[in-house]
Amino acid sequence: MTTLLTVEGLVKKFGGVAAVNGVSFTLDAGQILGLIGPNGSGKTTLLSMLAGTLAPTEGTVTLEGKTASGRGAHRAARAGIARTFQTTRLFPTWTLRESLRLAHGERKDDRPFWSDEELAALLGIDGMLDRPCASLTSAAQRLSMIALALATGPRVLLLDEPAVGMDRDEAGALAEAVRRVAGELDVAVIVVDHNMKFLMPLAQTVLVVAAGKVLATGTPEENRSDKAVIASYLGGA
Amino acid sequence: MSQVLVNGVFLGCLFAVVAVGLTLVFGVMEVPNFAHAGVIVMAAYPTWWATDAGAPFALAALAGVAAGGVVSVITEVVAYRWIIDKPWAAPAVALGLMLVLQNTALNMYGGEGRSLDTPYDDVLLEFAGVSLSGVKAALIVLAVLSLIALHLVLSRTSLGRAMRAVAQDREAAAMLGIPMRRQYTLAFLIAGLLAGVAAVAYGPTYQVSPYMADEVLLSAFVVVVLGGLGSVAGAVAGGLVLGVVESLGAAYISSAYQSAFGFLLLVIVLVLRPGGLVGTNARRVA
Repeated sequence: MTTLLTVEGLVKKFGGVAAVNGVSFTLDAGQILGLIGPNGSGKTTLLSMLAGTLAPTEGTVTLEGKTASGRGAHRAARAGIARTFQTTRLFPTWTLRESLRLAHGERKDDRPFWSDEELAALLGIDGMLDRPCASLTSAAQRLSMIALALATGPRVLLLDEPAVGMDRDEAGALAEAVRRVAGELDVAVIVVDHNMKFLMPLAQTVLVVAAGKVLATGTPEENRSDKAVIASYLGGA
Repeated sequence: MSQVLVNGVFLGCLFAVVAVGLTLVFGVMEVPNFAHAGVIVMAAYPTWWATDAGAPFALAALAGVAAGGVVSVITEVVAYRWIIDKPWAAPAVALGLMLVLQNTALNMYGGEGRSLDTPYDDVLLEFAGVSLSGVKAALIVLAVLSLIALHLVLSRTSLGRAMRAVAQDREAAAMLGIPMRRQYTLAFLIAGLLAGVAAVAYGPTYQVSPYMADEVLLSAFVVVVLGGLGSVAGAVAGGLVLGVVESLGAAYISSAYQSAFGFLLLVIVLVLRPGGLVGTNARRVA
C-alpha cells in the first residue's frame, strides 16, 4: 500500500487554547481509520481541518503529494477529501438522484466517477434513488449522505459519527457498506464514532486523541489493552 | 373592479421582480440587501441617459438591465463577500451601500425626477372595458419573461441547481465541491439583472430619481416575508397578492393608506402562517 494522506504536526488554536495540538498520522488507500477520544478532545476540530472548513494554525495535510488544507471546504472536496456530517445534511425536497447529479456536476474530470446505481448498490440503498430524501428512513438518509460524498470522487472519506441513532442491524449494515467503500473503491476512510461496538470491528487502525494530542495509535486490540487509553476513554465509557 | 385588478397585477409584477432578487440573495447569503434600492437607481439612470441621447428604447432598457447586473455584482465583490462570516454586520453594510449608491446617483445626476420616455407611451390597449397603457402591458410581459427565464435557470442549469442547493444547506453544498463565492456572485448578478428590469419598468410609469426605489424596496421586503424567506415561488406569489391587495385597498378604501394595506396583510399572514405563503421551515430557492 502507498501512503495517500499525510497529516503533519496539525495544530489549531482558538484564542490561546489549542484544540488540536500537534497531530500527525498517515493513511493508506483503502484503509479504515477509527478516530476516538472523549468529548472535547479535538476530534471534530481535526476533522474540520482535514475537510478544509477550518484552516490549521500550524501543520499540513498532504493528499497524494499535494497540500490539501486550509483552502475551504469546496477545494478540499475537489482535491479528493469528502465528508459527511454528524447531523443528516441532505437537500430534503430533492431525490437522491437529483442530489447526486449536482455532485457529479461539480466533480473534476480527474476524479473517479461512480454511477448512481453503483453507489446505491455499494451502500445498500438500491431503490431509494428516486424518492425525496426527506421521505427516507434516518438510516437511509445517513447512507445517502455517504453516497453524496462519494459522488464527488474522493480518495479520502471522512465520516463524522455515521452510526448515531442507528440500531444494531442498521449499524451493522453501515459497517458493511463502509468496508465495501474502502475495499472496492480503494477509498481511505476516517471514521469518528463513540459507538465502540460499531467502530472497533470496523477500523483497521485506531487513533486515540485526548486533549488535542495523539494518545495512542495501533490496531483496535492494541488500544483496548493500552492503559492510558483505558484510563482516558474506554474505562469511562 | 377589473381595472383595479389589472393595475394590481402590474404593481404585483414590479414587486415580484424586486422581491425575487432580494429573496435569492437572502436565500444564499442571508443578507437583507437594502442596497437593492441603490442598484435599481443605478440601473435606471443609464436607461434614462440612453433614451435622452436618442438611443432606441429597447437598447436603453438593455443597458439598464446590464448596469443593474454590474452594480449588483460590484456590491458583492467589494462588500458582502467580506462579511459572510459576520452576519451581524450585514444590515449595516447593506444600508451603507444603499446610501453610497443613492448619493452617487445624486452627485452624478442631481435630485430632480426625470421622466423616461418610451415608444409605447401613446399606445392604449382596451379590452372588456379595461384599459392598460402600452407601457404597462410591455412591462408586464418583460417581468413575466424574466421570471420564466429565472425559473429555467434555477431548474435546468447546473449553476441554478447549485444555487438551490446552497440555499437549502450551505455546508452540505460546499461538501459537494460547490464554490460558495461563485454562487454568491451569481445570486447578486441575477438579482441585479432583475433590479435592472424593475428599473426599466419603474422609470416610465413613475420617475427616475435617486430615491425612486425606496418605497418599492419596502414593499418588496414585505413580499419576501409574505412569500417565505428565500422562496422564489413565494416572492412571485407574494408580489402579486400584495400588488392586488394594495390596489384594491387604494381604490375602495383610501389611496392614502395604500402601503398600509400591505403591512396589514403581512400581519395577518404572519399570524396565520408564520413561515410565509410558500415558506416552510427549510429555506429553499425554487
